[in-house]
Amino acid sequence: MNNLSEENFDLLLERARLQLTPEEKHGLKAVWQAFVQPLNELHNWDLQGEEVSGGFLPHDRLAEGTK
Amino acid sequence: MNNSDRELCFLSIQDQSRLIHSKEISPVALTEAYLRRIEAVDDKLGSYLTLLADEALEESRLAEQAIANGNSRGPLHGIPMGHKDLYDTKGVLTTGSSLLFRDRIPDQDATVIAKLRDAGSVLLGKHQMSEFAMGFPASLGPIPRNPWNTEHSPGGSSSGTGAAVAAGLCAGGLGSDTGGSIRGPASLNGIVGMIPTYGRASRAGVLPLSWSLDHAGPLTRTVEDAALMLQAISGHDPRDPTSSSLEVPDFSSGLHEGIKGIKIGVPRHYIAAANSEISSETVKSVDKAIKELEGLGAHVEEVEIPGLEHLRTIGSIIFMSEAFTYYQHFLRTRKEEFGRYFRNYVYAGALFSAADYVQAQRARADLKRKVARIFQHVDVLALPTHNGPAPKLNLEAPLDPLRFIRGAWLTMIFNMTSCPAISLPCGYSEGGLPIGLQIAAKPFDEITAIRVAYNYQEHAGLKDNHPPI
Repeated sequence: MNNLSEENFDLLLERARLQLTPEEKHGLKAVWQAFVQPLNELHNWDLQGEEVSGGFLPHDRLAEGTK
Repeated sequence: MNNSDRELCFLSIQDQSRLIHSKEISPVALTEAYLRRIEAVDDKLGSYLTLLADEALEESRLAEQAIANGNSRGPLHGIPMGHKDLYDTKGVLTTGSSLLFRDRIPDQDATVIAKLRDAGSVLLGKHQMSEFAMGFPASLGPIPRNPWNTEHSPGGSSSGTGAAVAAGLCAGGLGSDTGGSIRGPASLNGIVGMIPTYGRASRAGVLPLSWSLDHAGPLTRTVEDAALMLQAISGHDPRDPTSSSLEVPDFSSGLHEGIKGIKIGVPRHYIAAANSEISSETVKSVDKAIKELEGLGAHVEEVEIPGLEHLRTIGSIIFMSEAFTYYQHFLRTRKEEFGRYFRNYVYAGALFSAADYVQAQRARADLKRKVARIFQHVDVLALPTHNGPAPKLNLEAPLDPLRFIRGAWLTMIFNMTSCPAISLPCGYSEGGLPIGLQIAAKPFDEITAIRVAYNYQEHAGLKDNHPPI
């Protein structure tokens, strides 16, 4: 998947519901191409039992429905 | 503008406050001096997007009266500030430096802005920034320039605030930092910039880039001033669901304790991993600063942070996915109102899968655990802030897919691990451009990071160096 075909890239855009001009597609493809290999490596990393943890701190107010 | 304006405008907040409270200067005179200096200098720097001259003068008159009547609100009362244009300011244009929000006038202050108003600070205006904290150049307003050399960049995304504080166009200001956007401009402009622990300062009313990585924090000329501003903006906020309810300590309480016995970890392998991207002048200046900290009584040891090889990927997936999620409606309906850079980069956030985002957050949890283990053995980490001095501005640069994340290599780790981190000047390049030292501490231990940074700044004697502009 290192050299993403136009067809595959168009499928990705369709799934993302993005309608881009040819120039935008060209710019985005360059950005995306840079992530293909690092993404593969990230998914191959055995994180064992690690769970999801963002920076968010749980807070009662969310459960209370207020902000 | 005259020489006394320049002297007055470059005083620290601490010194300005002392003079205001001893009635040696009035907040009105101070505000007028800043307005004259902005008028004289800012056409070369482009740091202000909105100037609030009349409003600032009125606020300074009220401050003067209150202080004269014995109703001082503390050390920030009457101090003129400017803030990055992503903080909501009631009744004042808040654009994120994007055409998309060119007419956006909030009806409520961001919590941290309200806190600074409560502390009596005067709002001089709103600062130019990278579009929505990432795009360059912004689709609205001037191109900000570095006051040490206007052909060079002031960094981003708090570009205007960095340039304005360094050039003496405000006493201090708020920036925001998702991957290094306070500390980077602090390093490149030769000033102090700090992010507190995630959750310490409210994000309510701050235009988001990435909810789980964004931090509000001060840009100032001294570490003491950063502690004062941080004190004013910290504390629990019910408007921010990620706000911490932990008690806020006195951030200045450790300043005069010295650093004898403090354990400093230096992640040399991490610095080296930037290899060709980090300048030798930066490594040399930071090494010298670490030696000086050792000379002040700190114990220095090398530490290793495992798992860094995925740092850029993890950070990119998280912030691009979150940024796209926030802006997706506008990107689908009004995309021509975004700048090219922001648009192209954030579109990529739509392409990551849920599994990519989850794996990145799992890797982030792993990284947090590893960094926490290091802080069981050392009090702070010391490393460069940025990979080099300010680069030349290049407005014609082609789209670089990894530009943002490359510049954030040494800073984003602390956004991802919720650690407080401060940048302060530690030297200059051969071309006379500033270089920054970064000190990070474990979550909720801002006091130690500030203490180490203060002791270095007092020792190094660089805080009175200002750009020639």
